[in-house]
Amino acid sequence: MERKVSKNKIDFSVPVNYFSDFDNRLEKKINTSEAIPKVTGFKVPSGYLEDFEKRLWNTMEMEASTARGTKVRWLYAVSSIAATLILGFVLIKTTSPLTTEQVEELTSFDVKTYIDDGFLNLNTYEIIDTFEGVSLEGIEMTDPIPREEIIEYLNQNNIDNYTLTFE
Amino acid sequence: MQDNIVIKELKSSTTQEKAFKALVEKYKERLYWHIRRIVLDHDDADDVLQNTFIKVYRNIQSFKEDSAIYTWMYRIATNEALSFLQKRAKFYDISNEELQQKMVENLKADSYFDGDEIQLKLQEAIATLPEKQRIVFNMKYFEELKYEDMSSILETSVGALKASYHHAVKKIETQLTKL
Repeated sequence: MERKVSKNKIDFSVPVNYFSDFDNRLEKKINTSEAIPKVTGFKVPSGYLEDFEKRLWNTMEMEASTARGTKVRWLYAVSSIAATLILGFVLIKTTSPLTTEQVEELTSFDVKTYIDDGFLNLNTYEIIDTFEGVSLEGIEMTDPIPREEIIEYLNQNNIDNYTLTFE
Repeated sequence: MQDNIVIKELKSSTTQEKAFKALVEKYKERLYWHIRRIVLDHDDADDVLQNTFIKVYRNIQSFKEDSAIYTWMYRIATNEALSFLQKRAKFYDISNEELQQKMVENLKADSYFDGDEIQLKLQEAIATLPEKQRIVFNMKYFEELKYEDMSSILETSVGALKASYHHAVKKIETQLTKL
């Protein structure tokens, strides 16, 4: 028996991409639960998304300027360290072979600056070692620190609770 | 503008700014909702979204183009949001689970949440899920992402994602039908 081809069959058509999208649509249908709402109730302030780029650029510019500031501070710090090292090197080079005359020429200000700048790395134990067995009465101060300077130092360093007696 | 052209322009200093603007314009909303569903609060979502784009801008040169740019951005957004929540939990000295409960509790007074009782229950149910299931559920149920893309974003196999999603849906349905 000869089979008749339905004319209607060739007249049917499907939307474009119907079959290629079928899997996705089926998956979506399966993945949608009747018990779970699709709407969450979250809102955004009006104009939020429209203004977002502007605020993002502001944030990025602020961060960039902060980063520049940090970089400059970092450069200052590095420069200071470098300068200190150079100064230290020069001082060590020039002061190591000090003659008696040169030592005598050093003022108390030079020594103070040297100590303040951290070139004298002495701890309590090293000082005790240096002065071990030396009587305090035996230490002669050829250039005694003036009384006014001591009071000023103590005032600046908030040593209020100490009772000081000057002879 | 097509993504491959955008990437090329992003990597060139002369066209970087223009391309970045196009990228922000194209993806800001999708990424916002992705982040918002993780952190729940609008202001937190805004902070995380900004950080995400800043990271994209700074790291575009290291983007290897072995995945689509939007999956790479989604990955950054997801990591940023999760990292934000970890910091928040550490700040309050509470566990991640306790933080989730606290976040849902805060929704009741949130002016940018006008969900009804069911929607609030839904958030409570989502909050009880383990972190990975929570993210997978949001990405599949609300954002309708393809498993292949999710696999690239979360660096997890498609099979594992399907299993996670299935478990998440069952748990949420059970909780919601208890009402």
